[in-house]
Amino acid sequence: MSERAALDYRQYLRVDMMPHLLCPGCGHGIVLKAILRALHRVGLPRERVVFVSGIGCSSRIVGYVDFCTLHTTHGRPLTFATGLKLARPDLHVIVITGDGDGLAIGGNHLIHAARRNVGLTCLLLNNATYGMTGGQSAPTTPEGARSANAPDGGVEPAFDACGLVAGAGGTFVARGMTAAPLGLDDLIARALVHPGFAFVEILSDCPEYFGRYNGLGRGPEMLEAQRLHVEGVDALLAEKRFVPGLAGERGGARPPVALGVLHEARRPELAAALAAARAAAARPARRPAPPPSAARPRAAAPALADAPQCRVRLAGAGGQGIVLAGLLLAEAAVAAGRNATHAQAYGPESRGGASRAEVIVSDGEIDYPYVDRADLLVALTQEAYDRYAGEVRPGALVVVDADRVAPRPADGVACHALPITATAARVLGAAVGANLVALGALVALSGVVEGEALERAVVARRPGGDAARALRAVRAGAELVAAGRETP
Amino acid sequence: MTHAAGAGVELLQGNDACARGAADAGCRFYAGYPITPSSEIAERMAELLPPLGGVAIQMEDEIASLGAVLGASLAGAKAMTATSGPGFSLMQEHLGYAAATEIPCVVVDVMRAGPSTGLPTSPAQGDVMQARWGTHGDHPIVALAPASVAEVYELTVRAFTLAERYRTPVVLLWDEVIGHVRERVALPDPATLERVERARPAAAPGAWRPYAANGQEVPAMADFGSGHRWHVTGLAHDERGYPTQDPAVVARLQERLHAKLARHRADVVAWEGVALDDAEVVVVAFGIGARAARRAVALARRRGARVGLFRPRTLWPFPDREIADLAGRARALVVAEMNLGQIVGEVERAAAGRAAVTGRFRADGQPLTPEDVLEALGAAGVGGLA
Repeated sequence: MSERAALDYRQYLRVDMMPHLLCPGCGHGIVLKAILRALHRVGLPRERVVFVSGIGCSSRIVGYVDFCTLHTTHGRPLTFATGLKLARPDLHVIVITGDGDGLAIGGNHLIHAARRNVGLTCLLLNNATYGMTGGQSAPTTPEGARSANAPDGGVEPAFDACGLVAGAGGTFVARGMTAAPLGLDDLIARALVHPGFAFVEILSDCPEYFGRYNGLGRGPEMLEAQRLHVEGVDALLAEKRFVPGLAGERGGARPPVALGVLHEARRPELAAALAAARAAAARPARRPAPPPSAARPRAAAPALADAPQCRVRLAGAGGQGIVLAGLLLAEAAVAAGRNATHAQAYGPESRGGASRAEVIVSDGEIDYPYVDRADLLVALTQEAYDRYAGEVRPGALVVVDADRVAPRPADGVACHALPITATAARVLGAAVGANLVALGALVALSGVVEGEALERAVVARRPGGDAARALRAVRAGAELVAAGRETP
Repeated sequence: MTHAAGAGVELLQGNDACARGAADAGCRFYAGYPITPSSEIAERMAELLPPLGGVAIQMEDEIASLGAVLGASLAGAKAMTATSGPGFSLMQEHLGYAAATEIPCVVVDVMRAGPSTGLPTSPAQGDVMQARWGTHGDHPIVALAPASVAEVYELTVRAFTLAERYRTPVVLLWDEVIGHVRERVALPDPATLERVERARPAAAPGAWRPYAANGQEVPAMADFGSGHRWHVTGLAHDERGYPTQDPAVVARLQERLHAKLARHRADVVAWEGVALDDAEVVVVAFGIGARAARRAVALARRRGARVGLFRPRTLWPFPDREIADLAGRARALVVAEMNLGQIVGEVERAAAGRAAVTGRFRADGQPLTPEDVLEALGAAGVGGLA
């Protein structure tokens, strides 16, 4: 009691921002005072308290309190608050939102903040209307109540905000009302010290719109209605019925409500859980700091490319490892001190569909990373062969999977039809290594990179987590070529 | 020449280079939502940041992602999100908020073909105007457009420098090809990078006026929780940060928001010229389109044509003075872009009739090719290319 007596509200207010914009009789001022009393009682370090709000009458409260305050966009305060809390877990973040801000436009953020159990206090001031825009229907406007855009009474049921947050995983859920302001102090104070997502719905009043449209009187009458209204409401809530009669037969009253702490649970708070996961993993940074180097990301003097290039196209179906084969080839070239690019084209499917990788190997700059006409082509499906067989240069070398592709003879092109799928099945017991068999054969036939460079790239990347198995496939491809040379 | 394969040389994907650049620039907070073709950035950030003491989180949507980024930035962290066209559309509200409240942030848009869901795995350059004007109201914005994997790294680092220095959102725009292509790069030693932090108030708490620029264009900014108590709002505000409707105060705020980029244009606007000195016809292109144009210019030069390439590395503010200068020297400007004509309007405005401006547009989900550009050069009267 002595502590409360010592409280001078002005010590927490931006007096130079007054007068405030709340209407006479608005319940939000009662809530503001309750928040300040609760903060004063709990004694959080003032410089580490941050208020975040959205858009609406209730959200304007944060402008009047002398803390770090963030007045964000409509419905999104919880997103900003999540970033603040994760970047600075030592901050005490208090979100002020309204029924439209928090439950309509921001409803998605509310359920996910509750699910994540972000350690912040979320106070939702529910006055059952959109006050700032002139009294339209809100998600909490009771069925049957009139509003600026429901002149004959709305037909939609109201949201149970507390039920929503508890269901989504909030770990402290409470409801209070401006008709019982000292009870609000207790609820807010408990929310402020709760280690997790703490949600308090506060029933407030808008005599200017909701009250006027529904004949509920001015501020004092609406407060009295609140008080009457909560008596014996638990049974009504269970039956999902609303309290009739407060404003005559047309309704206009609030849904029945239960007050107090409605749900409480303990589970890891998000920022703490992330910190624990970091500590448990304790991984070193993936990239060791490289030694100082004169190499710069860009050449100082742009030059037009004129070095010869070897243009490689690998084509097949999604899931055949086409992109991986191209990647290994490009990595082998770069590791051997050459320049290379790797571009890919693919569809939305993770498996199936057409897949293509294009690799250019050069000893100079590579201006454009796509292949127009290939020097080397690998086709692992008939469709890929039909699509690309004509887009090769004179003297091109073409490798096809004889088990899947029937090539056509073409002048000036050396086509090698090799039993690639069968070889993969023989060596690995499955067709999944066909890409590696084909790559081994391509490198052996063309010498685009040294066979040893390819093998080093395979060992470094460990396709499928098994370098030895991948090496068997690559070598089997090279052996197909060697065998072909021995027996033409 | 043979490239040294020494330490630090690697084959790296564009999106991967972005994550590496961000981490090396000091980014310690990432929030995003999965979307092709940007998702690799989120995946790399989830690997890179926790060991550095940072946080990478997947939010419930792109609106929330940029909201979380802005919250983290207010707490003092360098912060980034990445997305593609549909998500970039959702982020527009918070891009405007960041511009109005002057919260530094970096937003990556790996462009895919639109409109709407479009072609999720195909490249495009259709978000250039959205980056400039997607959010409502006049506002300053910076957009950078790298054209190679190495430049993705470089400009990601640069984006943080500009965001912090000018307290502005910086958009990084590249297409699916630049995001997914792998190239040989030798990244610099992170210790040698220029790491810029926003100016923080020198005044004691209570004496600092949050939006008073004190004769400069960029006010100092205090971290939330640092002892300075201040108010941030998307409402028009005065030097205290308090909402105001005073026309004179609002006009001063608007003027300063735009002046901070306009007066530092030379620091923000970057571009590359190739073979411009004697060029009669100049191709204007960016991203993968500029790579096709570079090849086309090389081929055309070999055949004796006097052509060049102008490649904006900064798309916003647009390099209009440089284009005006080119228009005074070249006969024609050929704009090649993977949309139905976006920067071409800026080029026409800057050229102001002093050079012919034509466009080669491609919006079919395929990258521009060197042949496309050669054809456009031929149509612009460059002979001997066939």
